[in-house]
Amino acid sequence: MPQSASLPFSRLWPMRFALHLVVLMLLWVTPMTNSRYAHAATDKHTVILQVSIPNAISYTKVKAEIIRLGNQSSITLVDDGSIGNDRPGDGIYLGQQTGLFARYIHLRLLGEQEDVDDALLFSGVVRTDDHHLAKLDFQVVKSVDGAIAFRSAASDPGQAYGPVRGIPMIVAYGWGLFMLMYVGWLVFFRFRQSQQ
Amino acid sequence: MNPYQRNAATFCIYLLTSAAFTWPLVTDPLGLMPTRQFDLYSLLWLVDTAPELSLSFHSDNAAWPVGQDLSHTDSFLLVVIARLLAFAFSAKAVVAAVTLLGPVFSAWAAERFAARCLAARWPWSLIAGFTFGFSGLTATAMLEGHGYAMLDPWLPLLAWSWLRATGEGGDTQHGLTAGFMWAACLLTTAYLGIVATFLVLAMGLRALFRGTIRPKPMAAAALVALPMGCFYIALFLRSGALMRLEHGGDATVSLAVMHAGSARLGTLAGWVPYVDLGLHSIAPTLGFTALTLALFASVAMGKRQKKARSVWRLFVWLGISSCIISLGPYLDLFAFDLHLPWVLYPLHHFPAVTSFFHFPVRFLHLTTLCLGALGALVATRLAETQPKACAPLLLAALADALVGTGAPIRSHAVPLDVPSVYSQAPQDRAILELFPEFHGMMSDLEFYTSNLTCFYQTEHHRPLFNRCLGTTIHTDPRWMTNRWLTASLLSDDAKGQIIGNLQALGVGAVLLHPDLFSPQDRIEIQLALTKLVGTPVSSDDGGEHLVLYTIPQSEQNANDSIDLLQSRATRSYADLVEAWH
Repeated sequence: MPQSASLPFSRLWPMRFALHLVVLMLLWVTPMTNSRYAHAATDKHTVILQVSIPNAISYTKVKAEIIRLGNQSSITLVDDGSIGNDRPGDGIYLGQQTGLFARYIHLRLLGEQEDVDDALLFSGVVRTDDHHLAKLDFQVVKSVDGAIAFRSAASDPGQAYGPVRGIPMIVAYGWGLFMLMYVGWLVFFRFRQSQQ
Repeated sequence: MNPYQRNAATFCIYLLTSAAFTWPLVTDPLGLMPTRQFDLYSLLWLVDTAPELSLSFHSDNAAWPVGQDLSHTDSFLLVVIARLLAFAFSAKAVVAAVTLLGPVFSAWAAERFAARCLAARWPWSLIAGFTFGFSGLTATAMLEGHGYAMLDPWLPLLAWSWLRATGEGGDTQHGLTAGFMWAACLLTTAYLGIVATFLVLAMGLRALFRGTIRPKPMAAAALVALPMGCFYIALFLRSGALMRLEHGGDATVSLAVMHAGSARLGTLAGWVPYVDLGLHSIAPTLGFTALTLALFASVAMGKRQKKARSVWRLFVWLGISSCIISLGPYLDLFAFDLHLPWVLYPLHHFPAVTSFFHFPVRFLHLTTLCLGALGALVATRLAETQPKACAPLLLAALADALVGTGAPIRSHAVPLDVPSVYSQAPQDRAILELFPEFHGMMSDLEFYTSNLTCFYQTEHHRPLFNRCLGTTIHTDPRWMTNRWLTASLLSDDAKGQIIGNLQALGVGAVLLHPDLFSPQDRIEIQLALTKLVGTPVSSDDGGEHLVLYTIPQSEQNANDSIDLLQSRATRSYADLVEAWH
């Protein structure tokens, strides 16, 4: 019989602690944090639009027409550093809209140019179902029919400019290299000790 | 610490890790779910439907009026769990519990496997749990909405019991356990069943060459596994799944689908935001801690542990081979860059196989199990001489689980509210969800909306035309009826038959999702429906603007039972499909 089988229950404090932790998590933590993360219909849900426009294409204004929960509205996207962590004049236009939680919006992106009709860059439905913050990223490129915007992946945790998109992968490879050196060092010392 | 204390501490550590991994689920388990794609909603629907399923595996609440066959469901184990817990827990609670506790039990089983089979010592054995239970594949399962795939203690327990059963001291008990664990793998998902079979065959071959196979444990394992395997195959064949081959047996298409469900070399190391937008969140990162430890295994093992070394070699080969298979039919870095034919490419000669084998990436369950166990073993050996210097390895494995997979950063916290307008639909009549067809890059939206509206049924309980499980939504009654209704509403001369047809189909209400239509179509459809059935009711809660049009009941339908209505609607649906074609 293993030694632990004869232990009195009073000595099994880690087990009791674990049980308490589970109960706490399920019964107490939930309502305590609910107030902060609750998703009642009255909560504000922010949608951030981020449109990257290359230097070769210039617009006097970039507009977004949004149908959200049946209501149509229009916002002008800006590149003046006033929204989030935007860098002014970097060609990345941002706009945000706050309202009731919406699982998706119908979006039309328009670029205004002088003496020319508005250019329709994008039109379609996009999901916005992150309760906390929905960030939608678009890239404008030139095509044979003029400029178009396509949906691209917004980098996390929310930087806008290009190279940052690859940061998780760059960090992963750096981490891999570091681990290789660290474990290699551990193995080297073990090997040297065994030689001695 | 004694074994009880160690196990309690292990459970606590993994539970806290799981709370962070699935964040913010623990903050509101019944109201928010972490996900990114769209299968979560059909999973919730399945769990809600499970308690009412009989052994015929047929649901009348979906694919109205013909009903949906569920004998080809994703996870029979989840159906069983849902039935067992249905007395007190809602579908949301069951899915939340599986999502939160699944990785804990998976990790715990992997930790025990590393400790018992490879003699890894605590706390280094924790590395096995972090690598297996909180792998990139688990994160992918969470983000895709495949919560059942997160509950996988069966594979480590199968490896443990089968290793014993095929070893020198194997007895009946080990064989029986292995049989049950294999069955649990198969019932969790078919893919896990395939991976488990691969493991069983590899270990069996090793035992055969070593001459350690004994009849008793083999017979005990077969006693459990064979009936379960036959039952599963019978269900699979009965579902008519092989018919899919006749309609879509194009090997090139099947190969492309399989490629989409395969691992990429780059995503084995890390993830980029594009993965969640364009690759269905498939970023099965392996974890560099276990990987680098495993790389040095031959040096770190030393010469003493001859027996352990032999087992260790088996897991090296299992890990490598399953990783190679997981890369699928083409070798690529991220999307379609290298595109070199790979080990599963020859399967295009067998379209019957390729049309069903869509997710080779799930072979990484075995890779992460082997890597984690090897990592724990190597860490144990290294810690024998320098325990303090090895301590950061545990934190590194934790960082792989939380940062390396990106699970808490990548997931979206999705509210599980149901729009209130559904409560105003007539009872015992079907609801027809009306939304447009999406093509090209936006085609996923059609799956999303279909699954989402199936989830709404868990609250309103009216029959739906949607097929709520599977990927064949473009042949389901909703798609067919939707197509006919949208075309009729948008044409000038086909409106006369609409109400009669809807009544014959047993439709109690048409639920329009106006924001999904283009502005012009939306106005036309709303005008036409209002003209036909009068002023609708609408709601803006639950995250959607929905407009509900109640269909007046015919005199014939008014007093019909739901069964009679369904049988009449089935005939009307067949007529409609024929006429529409």
